[in-house]
Amino acid sequence: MKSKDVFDLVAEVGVLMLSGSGEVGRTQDTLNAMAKGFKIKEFKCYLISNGIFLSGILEDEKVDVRIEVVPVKGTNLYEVETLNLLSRRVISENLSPEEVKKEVDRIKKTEPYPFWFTSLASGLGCASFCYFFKGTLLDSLLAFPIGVLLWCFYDLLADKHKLPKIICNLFSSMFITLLACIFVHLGFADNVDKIVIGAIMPLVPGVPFVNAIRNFFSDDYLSGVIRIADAFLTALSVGVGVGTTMIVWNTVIGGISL
Amino acid sequence: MIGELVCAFLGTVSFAIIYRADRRHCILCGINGFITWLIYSIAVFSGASSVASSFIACFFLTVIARFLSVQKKAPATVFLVTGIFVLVPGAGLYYTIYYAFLNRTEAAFHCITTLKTALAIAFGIVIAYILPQKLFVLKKRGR
Repeated sequence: MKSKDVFDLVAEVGVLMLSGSGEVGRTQDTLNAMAKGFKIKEFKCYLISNGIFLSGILEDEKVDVRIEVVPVKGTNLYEVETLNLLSRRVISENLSPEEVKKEVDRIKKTEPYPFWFTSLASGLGCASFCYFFKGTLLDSLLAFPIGVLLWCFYDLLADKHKLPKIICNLFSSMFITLLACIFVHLGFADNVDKIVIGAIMPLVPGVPFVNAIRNFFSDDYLSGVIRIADAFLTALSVGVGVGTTMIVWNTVIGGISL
Repeated sequence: MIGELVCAFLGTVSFAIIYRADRRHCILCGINGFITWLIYSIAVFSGASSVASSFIACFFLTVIARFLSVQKKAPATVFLVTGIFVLVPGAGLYYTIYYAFLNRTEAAFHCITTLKTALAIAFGIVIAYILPQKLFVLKKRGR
């Protein structure tokens, strides 16, 4: 395999890991390990949460550079984990770049769980967190379908229409709150607030926040700031979505129960 | 109490699935969430404030996550981000916005509590990361 393509492969792995919310330090270690395994000379990489800058020396002693933009996507721990394992195997089993490319292509296409399964998991998560935050059983039963619908709706906005993350969060939280208000108004459950708290759990920015802390700890301040801003804006957009829907509902129909 | 623990387990497993964690790790993530909430509940029961309990629980969560990552050869990220869900102040966030939109003063209280909890979680992770990596590898060999 041409060394240019090998270099492309390393960049591709970096993009996949960062977009799946791997943290910067680990991704850097992974890329360095892969470059060492592929014997790319003088490999240097600089990573921030949404960009990759690589340089190395190819076979013909020319310096090559790769710059990649990392797209904002949801958390994909499958890619983070399998790519990390792959990079360990490159060193331990001395894999060739062709084999690695095949593996990376396979990983890119694999969905460890079918979509209906993750939707149901989302519903279960929302329902259990609703009960966790002291909602009644009826609230949790209602939070389940809302959680499922939220996942489908968010996927529709993010993947099919490719809207920016803030808009997806805003509309999804409006959607949840609207559904919760409608169903409580129709008498299917008791507390709007407990249902909404449970239902927004998939949207709450736990992952960017944790990754921001870990980035700060490994001196990647810029990446940490990017992730903190991401977490803050996500929280803000979710909050604004919930708040405006409740105000509108209160004005039009009236009587939001506390 | 039992209900909350069961929900912590189920909720963590569900979010591990949503984040596409490996099948073998999902149950471990759930147990991690279960233990985290157990530690949090014990801390609150012993009289610590909710913020301090979040700190303690997050510290132990990170320790367990690092330990599991060595055992299972998976990045600590997997166990850490799934376990953090029970501690994340989702309710605080909701009530901050709710009271802010209603122009009531409780908004400030919930806002400060949310920020304090977030900082407590951050410090829990940081302090647990100060522990040297050798400590977690030795624990494995000691068996």
